[in-house]
Amino acid sequence: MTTRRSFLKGTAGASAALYVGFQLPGCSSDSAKASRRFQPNAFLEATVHGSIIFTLARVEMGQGTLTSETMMVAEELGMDPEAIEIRFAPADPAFRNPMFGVQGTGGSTSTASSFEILRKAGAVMREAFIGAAASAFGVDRAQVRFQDGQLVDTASQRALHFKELVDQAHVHLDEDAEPKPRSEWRILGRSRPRLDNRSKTTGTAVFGADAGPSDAEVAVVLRGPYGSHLLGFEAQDAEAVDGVLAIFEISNGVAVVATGYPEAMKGAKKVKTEWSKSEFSTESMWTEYAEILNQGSASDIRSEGSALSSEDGALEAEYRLPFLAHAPMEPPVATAWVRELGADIWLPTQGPGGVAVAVAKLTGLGMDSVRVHSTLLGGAFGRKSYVDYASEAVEVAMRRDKPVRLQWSREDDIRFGYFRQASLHRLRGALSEGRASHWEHRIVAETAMYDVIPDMLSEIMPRFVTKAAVWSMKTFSDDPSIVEGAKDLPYAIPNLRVGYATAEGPVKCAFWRAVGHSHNGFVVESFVDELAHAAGQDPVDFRRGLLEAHPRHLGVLELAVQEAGWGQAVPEGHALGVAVHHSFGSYVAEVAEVSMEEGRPRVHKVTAAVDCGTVMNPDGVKAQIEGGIIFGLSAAMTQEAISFEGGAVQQSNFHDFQALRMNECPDIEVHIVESDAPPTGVGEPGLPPIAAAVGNAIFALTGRRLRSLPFELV
Amino acid sequence: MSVRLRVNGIERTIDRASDTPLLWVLRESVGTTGVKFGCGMAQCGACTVHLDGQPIRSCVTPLAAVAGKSITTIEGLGGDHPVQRAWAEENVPQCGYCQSGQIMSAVALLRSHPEPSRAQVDDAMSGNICRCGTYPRIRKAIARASRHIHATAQGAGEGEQP
Repeated sequence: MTTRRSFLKGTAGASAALYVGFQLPGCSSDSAKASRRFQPNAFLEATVHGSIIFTLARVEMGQGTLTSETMMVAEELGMDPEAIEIRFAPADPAFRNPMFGVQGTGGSTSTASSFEILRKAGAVMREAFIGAAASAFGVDRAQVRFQDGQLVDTASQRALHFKELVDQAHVHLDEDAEPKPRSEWRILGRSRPRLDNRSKTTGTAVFGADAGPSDAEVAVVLRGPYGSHLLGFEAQDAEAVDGVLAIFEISNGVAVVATGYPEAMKGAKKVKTEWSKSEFSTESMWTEYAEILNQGSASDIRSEGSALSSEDGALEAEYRLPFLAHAPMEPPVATAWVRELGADIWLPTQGPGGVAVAVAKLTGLGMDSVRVHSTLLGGAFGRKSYVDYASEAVEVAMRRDKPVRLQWSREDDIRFGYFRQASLHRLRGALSEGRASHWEHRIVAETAMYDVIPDMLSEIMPRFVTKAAVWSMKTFSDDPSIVEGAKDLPYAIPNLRVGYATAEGPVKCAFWRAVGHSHNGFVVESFVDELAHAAGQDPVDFRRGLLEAHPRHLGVLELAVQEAGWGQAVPEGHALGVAVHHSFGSYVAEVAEVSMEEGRPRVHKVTAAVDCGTVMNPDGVKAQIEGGIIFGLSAAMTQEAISFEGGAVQQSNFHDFQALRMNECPDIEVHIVESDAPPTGVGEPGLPPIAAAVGNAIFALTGRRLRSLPFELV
Repeated sequence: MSVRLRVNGIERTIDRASDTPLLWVLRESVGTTGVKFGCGMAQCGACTVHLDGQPIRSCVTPLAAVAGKSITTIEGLGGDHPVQRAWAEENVPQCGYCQSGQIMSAVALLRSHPEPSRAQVDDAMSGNICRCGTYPRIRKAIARASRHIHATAQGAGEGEQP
């Protein structure tokens, strides 16, 4: 197996971990097995039946990995991506995300983390087949081409299908095979239809609740307010409901198992539960947050130049963002089947590795007896990074002889999930000769990192080590879920302070699309606009003056304002607002065109520019930026906010935790900056600028500065 | 309670409580899992199917209300319906979970308004939530499907089925 190390030459060092534990069948002494398939690495397999099977490690949750990652291997193999068979990766160290060290999809890392590895994997398979063909033809490998499954001797035009060389290819394994240079790309860099269009327009796509044994029992769970615990429950009436099979306590509450979902819900309605009192409310939380900032408890993590003094004539502002549920259209669901010798779980998850660890821990089974069957994700936005719903399914299934599908209702999803943390921001700024001279930004919020990092790390280290790792992260580094997008302020402001305090609270906080950037993008880009107006300058000119050292910020800003017609006439009663933000390695600028209709803002059009380095599938990039904009608009323009009283979430479904709908959706135009830079993410970066762009347009139109989300729409 | 209904042209007998929502009858008893659970209270449209040709939210439609009726789900469109083609051509789906419902709403819209205005699209489609943000593409796909249907009607001298 020593050859695997050299296979990895030229790829990022961290990616070495990707191959640990993976056995190369081509090198196996089991020659019968080896002759039927050629599997040069964890991702690709060629069979004697003429299939190329690609194992997708970065799960498909809408962001398009299934298409873009298949394009990467298809490019190297000279094949139509449609001709490649795609399988979803099991939980296996071979499929860890080198940017995280665990098997997770998120952080807009899929393209960036796969670009070198998958092209390399494809190149190795191609070169092995070319070597096998050259040997079969008795010619130099330089004159053999691999195209559309055929290996062609370009001199004689003799051809062989790769399936005839499956048993020869491993002999020609060349770990130094190089991916094609960009100049030879025929697939990457060109827009192409999503490979999952057909299944997703015909109802055949398999999501969480569509997978697993069809005779599974269905369970729902009754859970209590945050900061409370179960005192007792009464299930007699519920047990009498037709179809109800069992009712029992699990660690998160009371599980009701039935023959189907409506039967389980009917039973659940009749269970009487009693919970201890919880005092947590968002109202008292905001008072506490203000007090933390009043007392100066936020410690500075960036400090340049001098602090603001009373003579500087500071502009002061307070910004506030609420807790948010992710509310993917597919509520959390998992089907578990636990037997003495093994366990299976079918679910939509961003972290199959973490799920496997959770299942093993709960059941006491060894990791090799746990099988995680990943399905498509019906949206996730960070929510499905967590193992809570998988653990519930396993806990219930351990008490049943049959497989059990644990289904969250929408009410469960809105009330009991992990949430994007609420945050309070205080900013002070000052101007000198028309330029920003001072900037102070202090934040208080709960962390969205440390409720979940221990679970994630448990995939790769024992529990006591994860505790030490979390302690050291907390002690020695800033909390990205609070400070990202604020600490890295790009503007050239000589006197700068950025600080934060971490609040404690009972709410489980989580990564939510764009994480820390989801609040800081709004706050920073709104306050820059406040300074621009205070300076009496055009908001674009003001930013240009402060971004000279940041050409990629400037690049997207210039492209967006040019395409939006910034500075040109807009329809009567309309105004434009702009924002630019860097997140997850990518740069996005957005211009929103807004009017007021009966006192409410209406967004007519959003013009966006994105620089995400080298582009795999331009139309896929556009779709993700559109999606990020709409997700951000939803949190700004509708009543999308979570509040607590007595520890209980006061919202329950889409009527009071709203989402943007078709009639509120603007036209969106996305422009991509040409770039040779390494590829970076697009799933999240479309979101951070949008609320600020809209708020800035509302200010331009009305003189009213909206400093909290969702906007108060009066 | 035993209820007879037709699903995608096939006669079915369902033996479940009369207040069982049609959504769960379709998913758990019939096996047409293309219809999706999103909210359970007619707020999101993921469960949209056609009842005798009209779009309904199956999550709040009790089994008793569909006795003897004809249901069409996404599976019943056949896969090559002009709306399905347009959806793929405009690369509408992202996660795809809401798209069965979106497509069923769009099919019903185009049946009543073959060339819908923007306001008609907004009216007909605002009951279907998409959290991925595919609305701009849905607009384009509806316009494209409208052209497909128009072209077919011109060519064949008749409207699209179903």
